[in-house]
Amino acid sequence: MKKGFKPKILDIAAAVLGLAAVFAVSTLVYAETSGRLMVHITGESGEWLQPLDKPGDIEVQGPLGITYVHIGPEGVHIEDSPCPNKTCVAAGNITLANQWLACMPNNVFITIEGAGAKDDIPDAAVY
Amino acid sequence: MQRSTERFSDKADVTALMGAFCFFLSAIEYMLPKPMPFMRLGIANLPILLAVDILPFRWFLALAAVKVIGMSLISGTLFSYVALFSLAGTMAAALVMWGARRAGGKFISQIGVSIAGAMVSNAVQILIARFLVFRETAWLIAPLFLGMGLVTGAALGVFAESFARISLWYARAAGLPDPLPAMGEAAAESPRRGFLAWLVSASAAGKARRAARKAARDESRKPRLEKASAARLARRARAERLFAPGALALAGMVVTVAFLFQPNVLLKGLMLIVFILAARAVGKRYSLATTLSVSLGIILANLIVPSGKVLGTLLGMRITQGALIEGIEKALTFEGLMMLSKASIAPGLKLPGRIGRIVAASFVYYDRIVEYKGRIKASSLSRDADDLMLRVWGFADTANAETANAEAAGEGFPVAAAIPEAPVSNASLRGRGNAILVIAAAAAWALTILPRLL
Repeated sequence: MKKGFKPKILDIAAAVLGLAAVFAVSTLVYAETSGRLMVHITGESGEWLQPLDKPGDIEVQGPLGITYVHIGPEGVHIEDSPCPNKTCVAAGNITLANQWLACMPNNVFITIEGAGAKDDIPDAAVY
Repeated sequence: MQRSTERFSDKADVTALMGAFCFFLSAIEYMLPKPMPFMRLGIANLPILLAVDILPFRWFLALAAVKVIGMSLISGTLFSYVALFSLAGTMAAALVMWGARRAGGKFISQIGVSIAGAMVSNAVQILIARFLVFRETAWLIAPLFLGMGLVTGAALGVFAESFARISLWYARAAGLPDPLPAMGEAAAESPRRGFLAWLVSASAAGKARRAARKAARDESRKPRLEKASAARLARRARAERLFAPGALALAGMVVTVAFLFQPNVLLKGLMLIVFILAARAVGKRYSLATTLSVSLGIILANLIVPSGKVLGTLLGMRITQGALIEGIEKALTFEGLMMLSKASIAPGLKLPGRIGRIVAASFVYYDRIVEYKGRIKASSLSRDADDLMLRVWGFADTANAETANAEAAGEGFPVAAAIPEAPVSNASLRGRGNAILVIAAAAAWALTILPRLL
């Protein structure tokens, strides 16, 4: 019987592959968490946070009534609001970091937060 | 030992013995502290790692299945997510280990095989955790989980390699020449000098002091622990008289489906409390601290990705309503399934088919391992483990020889007939037990359907 044993070539390969997997997953996880876009909604009745990639409907109570916000695959938009001109509804979807929507009469403000591309500057102001 | 050597050709028997060692190592692992609720060292996979070179593919997969089923029966987690994690992780690891060993040939040892198995097992479990328990947060624990798999897989591989080189049992099972006595033993006996001698004696003195303190502590707690243990065993005996294991498991399955469909979080919480009481009533071990820490872990993991109305801030983290409710719901489901499984899976449950018979035989070997009186020391772990395997194997050989004619298994599997039967119970008691199970199942479904109707 041999006194000791040495790792074989595929043992070392398995360990290296394992290390590479841990490194790759760590990098991906970091990129995923730091690059994730979140929808941030503020209104008189509180504050909401929702991932942009998680569909949902949020009802925000304001001084005029309820503003209905929809988050879907196409982005975020205001579905309906009790404001007189409905310009916030007409603004359509926002999808990029730092873009925002607002219904000023009903005190509802929506932004997309997160580390997006550097050229993701605000390009629309609607109320 | 001649008869024992011949028995290695009975692959069902070898599978049963190795399955028993999986159960035993799993029980040891259960007692070890874990840095996180879901993190395990994976030492219960050691027999599977060794079996790569001993068992044909069909029996190798059977061993993996026996490990999952048997461990789920012992811990009572057969109907819980834990069994799903275990099944997926073990089967994926078994397939990869087998493939790596066959493809790698002489260029790979147990170390590489073990690393490959551990990494795949952990990766599969992370995937399941992503969809069932932790949501997107599962990715956050992935690097730690995979890193730990790499380290423990390598360590397990080193131990398996060392064990395979000195084990007489393994050599005979694998059809290799008997290993020579370990050359390192004489060296281990030789006197140590200087700093090393001081270090060894200081370490031994420290160990002795800790052991004495622990013994004193255990002595003071002994009467209370003994009383609690006796009460638990009495509850278990009463439950075994009242419920047939098959009926109990069937009722457990029916209630499991109702629990999974329960839409109301409050009612789900109520059901969890009932399951905890039921598990306690049938004499299963239960730890409130474990339930709370696991639940808290799941809830915190879900809170990391915010979703819904912001309720407040805790240590810089914004607590959102949607994430909190989702975390509570998942923690309740996880713990509820665990407790329900504990309450409804009795040790005497006999599973049908060949795998069921192997599981039953593994329990016979498991009992013998637990009753083993020899010492297992860290300094001579491989050799002591080999002694244990030889003793258990030899003991089973004698038992088989004595009972061979009396057993009527008739399917080449005599050990299964030695399973201890549940205490004899009269028909009226079992009838009352069945009535309780029917009422419990009906109540669970009523609780699930009512919120949908109202």
